[in-house]
Amino acid sequence: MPDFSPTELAVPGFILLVLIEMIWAWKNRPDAYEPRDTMVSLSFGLGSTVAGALTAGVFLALYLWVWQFRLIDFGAQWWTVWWAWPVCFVLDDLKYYWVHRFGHRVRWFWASHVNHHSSQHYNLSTALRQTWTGGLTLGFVFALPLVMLGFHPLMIAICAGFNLIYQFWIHTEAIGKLPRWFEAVMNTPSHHRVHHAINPRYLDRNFAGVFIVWDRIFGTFEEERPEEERIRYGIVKQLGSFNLLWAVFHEWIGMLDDIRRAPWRHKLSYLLREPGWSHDASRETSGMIRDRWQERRSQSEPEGTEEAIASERRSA
Amino acid sequence: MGMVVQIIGSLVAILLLVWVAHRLGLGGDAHIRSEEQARELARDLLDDFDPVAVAVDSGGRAALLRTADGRIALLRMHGTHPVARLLGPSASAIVCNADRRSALEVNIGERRFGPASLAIAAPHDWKAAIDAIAKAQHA
Repeated sequence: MPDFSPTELAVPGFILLVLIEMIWAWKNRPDAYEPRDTMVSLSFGLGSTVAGALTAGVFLALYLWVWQFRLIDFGAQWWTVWWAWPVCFVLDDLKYYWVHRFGHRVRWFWASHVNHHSSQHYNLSTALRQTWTGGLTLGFVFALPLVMLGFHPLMIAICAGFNLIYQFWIHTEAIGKLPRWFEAVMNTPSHHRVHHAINPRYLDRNFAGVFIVWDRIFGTFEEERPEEERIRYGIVKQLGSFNLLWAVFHEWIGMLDDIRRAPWRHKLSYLLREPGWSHDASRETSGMIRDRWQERRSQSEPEGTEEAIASERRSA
Repeated sequence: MGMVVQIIGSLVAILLLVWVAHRLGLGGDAHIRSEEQARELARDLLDDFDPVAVAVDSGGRAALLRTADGRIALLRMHGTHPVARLLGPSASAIVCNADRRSALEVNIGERRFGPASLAIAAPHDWKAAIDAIAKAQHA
């Protein structure tokens, strides 16, 4: 039975690539890194490894219990069924798309996932800015269909590890657009820059892990348009602090505070509705921000552009 | 034991990378250089915010911007990037006098954000405008 963690083995490679990107930044874009931000991002990475190790046993036990009731049996030596690996990898990536989309659209999930987005920088250290509180959400539920189907939890964990390794290198501004065929199928630095952007047109777009095709299929794809506007990274309400613990828990604190203050009939909505939703319409969701931007854009541009925007929306 | 070694190794790697970033001078010293730049940053960071009045701190670390309808935003450098906040009813401002110079200390009401001190012209006018927001919201 395979017993290894691809992400742990990849750590020396991560360190080397961060060093190489820092040298690139030194020569070309000194503002691409900020030592205090790097410190916070890398501490997130270390803390998430520890948090993951503490909760992994619980989730593994749950998955192994569910695995008893699997629909397909790959046999006692399931790891020798070679074709199961790529199938598992693709299905795990589909799972990643949905868990990631929920991570942005449900505030309970966002309270955990916001950690990955709260840096105003976009570099390889941002890739390691992983949450400590993923175990407090229902993210684990999304893997259950794969387990039920018959994929062994270790096979899923290894595929998820390779998925995470793939996503490391796309967190950079050092690489522009890649060949069209690659951009069409794979998640790339260009597509993922869009995902980390807070410009209204880019909000809640490009949720893919490895294959960008999921965004194209499910209608959440947006092309990067560097010639039209400069990307701003981070979150709509920027943290404005390099305090690690505040960065880890700020959204949990905000959400629990909102639930505490809200009238009873709205309390659950603060947990389950999208970030930015409020019962008194005092805040804005990403959809509201984008709609207002679209409206302003169509008003300020000459006749005929509205049709172009509508067609852009259809093709996205 | 293996986990402890891994944690210590990771901590050493983190400190090494941060040291390298520091030694290479990454990040630098970013400032708001002009009123025009402050306007541009505010338009970028705040949706539908078109300032008509701007006051940039003489050190370039922060700026205040006001729209025609009386909304005020605080722009503050956070590392190499600016952070913007629209001032709400919990915002307050006091004019401080030190070394024969006036500075406006703006508190946006967020504990973690902390106060911003701005050496700007006509700090009393900006204080009055900030106070007016709180009054209007409480009325």
